[in-house]
Amino acid sequence: MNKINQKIIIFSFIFFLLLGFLWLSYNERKQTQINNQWFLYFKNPTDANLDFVIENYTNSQNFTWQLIDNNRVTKKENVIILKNEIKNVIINSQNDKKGILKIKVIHHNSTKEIYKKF
Amino acid sequence: MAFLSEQLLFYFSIGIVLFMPGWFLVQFISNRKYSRTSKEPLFSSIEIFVISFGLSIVFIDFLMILMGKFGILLTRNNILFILMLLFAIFLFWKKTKYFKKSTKYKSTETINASTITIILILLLTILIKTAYLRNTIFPTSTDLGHHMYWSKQISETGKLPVYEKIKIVTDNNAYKLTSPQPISDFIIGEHLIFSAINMISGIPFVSYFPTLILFLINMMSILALFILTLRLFPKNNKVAIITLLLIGPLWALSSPQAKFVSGGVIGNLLGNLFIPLCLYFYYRAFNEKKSVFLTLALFLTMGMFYTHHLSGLIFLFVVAFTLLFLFLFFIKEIIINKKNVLSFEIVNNYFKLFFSKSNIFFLIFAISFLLFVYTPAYLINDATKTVVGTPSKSTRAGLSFTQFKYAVGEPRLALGVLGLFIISFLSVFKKNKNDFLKYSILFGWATSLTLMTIKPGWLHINLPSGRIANYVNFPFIIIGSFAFVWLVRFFKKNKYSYLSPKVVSLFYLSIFTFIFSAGFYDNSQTLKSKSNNQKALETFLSSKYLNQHLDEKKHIVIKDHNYLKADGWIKLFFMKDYNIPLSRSYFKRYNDPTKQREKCTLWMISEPNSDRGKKCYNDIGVSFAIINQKIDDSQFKKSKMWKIFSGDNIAIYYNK
Repeated sequence: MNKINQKIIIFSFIFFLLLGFLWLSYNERKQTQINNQWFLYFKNPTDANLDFVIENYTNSQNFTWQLIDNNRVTKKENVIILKNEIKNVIINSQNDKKGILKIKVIHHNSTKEIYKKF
Repeated sequence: MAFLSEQLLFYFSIGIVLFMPGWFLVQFISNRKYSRTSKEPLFSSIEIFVISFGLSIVFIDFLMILMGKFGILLTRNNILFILMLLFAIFLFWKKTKYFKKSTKYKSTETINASTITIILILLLTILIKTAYLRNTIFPTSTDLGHHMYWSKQISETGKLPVYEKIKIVTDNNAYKLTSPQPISDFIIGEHLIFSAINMISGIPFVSYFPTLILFLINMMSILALFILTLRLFPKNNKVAIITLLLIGPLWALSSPQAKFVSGGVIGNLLGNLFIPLCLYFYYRAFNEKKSVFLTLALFLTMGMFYTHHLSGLIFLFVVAFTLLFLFLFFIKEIIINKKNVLSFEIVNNYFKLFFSKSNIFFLIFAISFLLFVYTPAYLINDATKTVVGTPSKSTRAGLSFTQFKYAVGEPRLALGVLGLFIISFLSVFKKNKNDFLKYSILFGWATSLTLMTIKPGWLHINLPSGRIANYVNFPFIIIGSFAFVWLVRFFKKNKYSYLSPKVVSLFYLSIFTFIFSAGFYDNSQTLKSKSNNQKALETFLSSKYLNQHLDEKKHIVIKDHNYLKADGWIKLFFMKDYNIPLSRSYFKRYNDPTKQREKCTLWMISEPNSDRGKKCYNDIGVSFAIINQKIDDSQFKKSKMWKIFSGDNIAIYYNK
């Protein structure tokens, strides 16, 4: 049974496994980077405030947002958001809100919208 | 730099949690009187390496349970302090008169062809598994998410987990959430080691570390099978090397190998480590008549029952069948060979083996621990009744032979069946009664698992047959390897020299081609082309966002399990309850005739505007719904809910 060199086998095993672990850990870390996605959400999701946030993880920086008050565009602005940047957009809206107030954001070829119904 | 320090802490925590305690135990046992007087060391280097790992897991589990029960907070400092205390005791013991310098054994180890072959097999195994895990290392699997919730709870609270979850029930025609109810699905041993590694290393749960620990467990289970085979067939390394080949690089990815590592099937992976290790110690205890091995076997068996009840139950069947075959061999000895196998000397030897100080001490400890310290949840909740009886579903009625063949691997099964015939032949006609024990173990292991997988009704068990099938390949691999080596020796014998060497070579070549092509084909079928991490990252980002706005007392969340990636991990961002967020399960589960299930979770996402959907929202008080907007957005748009988050796939709705 002892003809095989067990210590060399153990050291080789640990060495190979360590290399594998290092490589996998490094790969997992690389995979935690969000790529080619962007997100839109309300800063305060549970109250009437319409301030919103755009998180950009794409290479394209140009965003256009619109405030749509019951199908009518009441505000429209272009913003530049760098890659990996989070942009807060403040909306000064009146207190007596009615119907659907929608935030629509257009970026490159995609559109996203969030809304609150009153 | 941060990555490097994190890595160093990770390997330090692995060393201190998963190797050091077991190594101390092995050193202590190896220094006992009977060990010092033996002609060869009690354990070889590889055995010490593998056994230390298995013993450490059980030791850490019991240590943390004891700490928790005695009111000691499970924190990094407390765990490190106790482990360092152990280290200090170990160093002190080495200075005392009780420590005797171990005998210097003359090493006969050489770097020969066998050594190089084993190293190459291990290299290939690690290489294939690593290549597969590259695309699955990012934490997304549902099972792993479920388990890590409990591990994170331990790390965050510093206390042992209470396995409970809230449920949706109907009360007077209204739906409501119950207070947390006990659940039997989880066992503490599956979670404590992850908490310990997390607390000591500081690496978050939503990271590579849980998968890498499972990878380590998987590789150590392969080595456990290797050391068991070395002990069963000590005169011929080749059986163990072929075993390593059949369990290592070939079929390296399918269940229960790398696929279970990425899938987070913790219990099964630990079971596949403990079963060979327990058999190793039981075999050595009865073969060498050393009670310390029996104590260690009992210690590991107890650890297995505190880790995974299915593995424990399977092990009981393996033991029962082993005893049955051993009994048959004894009967054969008495009747056919007229041998007195139950002489006073033999009975006395077994009496000494069972009733040694270490065994009695351990059994007292085990019973006290079970009754007064910690009883596994499945015993408290009487869940054992659910696994006994007539199979209740088609998935529990047994696999077909074709399914069984694929579960074991065709060549491994073919060689294994051949091996069973050879063992039967040798058992009947060979006079060496020392081999009976190993043949009984191998026969008992293979036949019990085969029957449990193919004909569970015969054994009166009610468990998913597919899950039991994940255990069945181990005995067939050892028996198959033995068959292969036996065949080679058979053909080498002079009396068969009439066979042309070319014919014999062709025979070996065809067997190897069959094995390699089947094994690597299986690997190629399992390899994933790319990672799905971006969708999972979206799930994590939306969960973090929602968690910032959750009112713990007011808000209940529901999410979809059908179309969201890594949704099993969302609960780790909230840490409110195992069942929060509530989940729309797989559609087929709502139509399972054997298990009636509430349907609120289905209606709240599939039809939030229907009367029953609205009633569920109102009765239960669900505030947020996380859905895949590419699939389920249309029905939510028509509702009165606010859409508060929008990603590429995920939308979150708020029910005001």
